[in-house]
Amino acid sequence: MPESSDMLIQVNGKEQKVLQGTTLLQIVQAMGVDPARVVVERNLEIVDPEKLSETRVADSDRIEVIHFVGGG
Amino acid sequence: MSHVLEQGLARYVSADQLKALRSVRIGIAGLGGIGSNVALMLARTGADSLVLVDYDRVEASNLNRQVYFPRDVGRYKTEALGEYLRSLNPDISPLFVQERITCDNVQEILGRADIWMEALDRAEDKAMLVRACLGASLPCVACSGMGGWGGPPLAVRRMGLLTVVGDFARDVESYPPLAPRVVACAALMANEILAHIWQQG
Repeated sequence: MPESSDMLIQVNGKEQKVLQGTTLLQIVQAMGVDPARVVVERNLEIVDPEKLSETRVADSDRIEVIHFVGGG
Repeated sequence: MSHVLEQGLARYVSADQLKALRSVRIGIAGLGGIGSNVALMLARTGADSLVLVDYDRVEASNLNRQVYFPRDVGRYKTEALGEYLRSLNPDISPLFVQERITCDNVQEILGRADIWMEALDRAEDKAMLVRACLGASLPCVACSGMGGWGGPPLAVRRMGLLTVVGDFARDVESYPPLAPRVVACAALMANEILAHIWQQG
């Protein structure tokens, strides 16, 4: 029986298919933004920036990536 | 006897609302284009429990969008802003923190207020401050993208304890920070603070 390697997650409110094993860092990088300039929430929990590369998303995860640009 | 601002405010803001606003220590991290304008708007609305954080002095290039005047150039922003706040409301006595926020002191500084406005310049510092606020379960209103003129509308994105205002794209390194968009962003942020405090009351 073929095993599906896709998972369905939500990134900033939009559904997105990702491969099993995808990390939060990969999701941030795919958005083309600098990981040092983002705040990432996974299921309403803030993720430590150093843990983005080791945190693998799970099916139905809700991810928020808040991207900061300079100016204040 | 209440001062003039308070006499006038009574027409629009109830005593209960004023009490609620004054019971919350509002921290403003950075007193530049966003922070200086937010502080003045909140003070006009009656807030008097402000924690104002900035290490910098007023420069000529700040005058296009920050609340300072030519005579303030060279003064500490905390000192100049403090003077304007007191001329508006003689009873106001903000807590001034003349320090640069770093990962080493952020926890200690955040502990001095109940809710925070992120108004820092650098994107990395903004992200650091917001993470620290959320880590400490402190509500935070932050900003991302308000450079240039015209441009995409400023959005208000609310996510639990965090609200972020801005266009999320127009970095002031590429788009000059000009008064209309910067002040518009500051106004939306101040409005979020009022909504947070008064909707809970």
